[in-house]
Amino acid sequence: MNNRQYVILNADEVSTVNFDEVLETSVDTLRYNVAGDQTFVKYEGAKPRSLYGKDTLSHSAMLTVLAGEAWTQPMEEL
Amino acid sequence: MSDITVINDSEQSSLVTNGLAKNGELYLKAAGSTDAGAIVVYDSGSWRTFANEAGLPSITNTYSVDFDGTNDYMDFGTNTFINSSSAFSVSAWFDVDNITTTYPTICTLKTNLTKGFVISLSSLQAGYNGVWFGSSHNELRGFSTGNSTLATLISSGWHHLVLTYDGVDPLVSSSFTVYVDGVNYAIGSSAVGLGNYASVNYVGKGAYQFEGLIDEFAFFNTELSSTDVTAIYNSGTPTDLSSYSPVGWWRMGDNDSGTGTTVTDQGSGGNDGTLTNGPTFSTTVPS
Repeated sequence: MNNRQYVILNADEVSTVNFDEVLETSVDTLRYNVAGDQTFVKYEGAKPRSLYGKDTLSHSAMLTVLAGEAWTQPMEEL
Repeated sequence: MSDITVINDSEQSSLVTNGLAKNGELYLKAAGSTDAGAIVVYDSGSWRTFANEAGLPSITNTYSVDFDGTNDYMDFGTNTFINSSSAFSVSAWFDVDNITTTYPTICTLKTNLTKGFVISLSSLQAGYNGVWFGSSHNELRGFSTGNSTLATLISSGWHHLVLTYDGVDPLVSSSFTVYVDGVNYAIGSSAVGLGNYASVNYVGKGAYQFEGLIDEFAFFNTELSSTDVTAIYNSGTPTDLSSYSPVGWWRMGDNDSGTGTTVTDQGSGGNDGTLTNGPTFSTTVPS
């Protein structure tokens, strides 16, 4: 997965994504943060035109972001 | 009766390369090799493979599915797999990349109740360590092995997981059994926080994502016995599950030439899976 790049988007930017250029299946399968105001897409190879101007993250950097409480509900303590 | 020679994969290849393989001669495949425990016979230029020592026909296993742990999963529809009053079993091979910062989910299964049923791994929190699973406090409950030694074991390399349920409310009797690599691990604690996911069937996704490889995912509408589990584990080499009549058996690429986004269901249910959000087929498999 080291050849994948990830781009975090605001929820209202989703309509600008060309899903033929990213690895996400469709707008309906996107994962959102806990607040529901951000999502992300990933790609391999050249940066899709629809993502020009957006910051990219590596696979490991994206996993670090997703592990935070902004993206993942904390597990209940036993 | 003559002795049977035990050979590994390279020795098997060398027999052919060096012209030493003779028609009709029997060999036993060594532990750790492809088709371990099977009898192979050289027959007019090719090898014929017969059932391994567990009595199960061997299979060719070339592919698994690699999940990146961010948002990808296999979706296999919305049919109800679990009825809370009926026995079931789940079998899967996994090689998880990261069990130390998250709670990787092997699968989510739709039930006849209001919550989905998840099976996950953990080494993050004592009460969840090892394997944890269930659907909620008030339905099929939630349980964990709560075993830090098991958590360490499964944190790297391929492992085989089987979860069985006898169809009786867990509050009435001990209903669930967890096997890892053929060993029965006691359920150590009650877990919570399983999430909803009421109407989906996923591999690699639940309340948490799975990062790593999953292979030979299967669902049965019976409670597999410990003998069954030992045979299916087969000392670490996946075997043919057909004799156990799986409702769902996803070979994770082997029926689909390791290409595309469809994972054909070889079970009786015909619930083909769809790789969603970019999982890839891998040629790294358990053996």
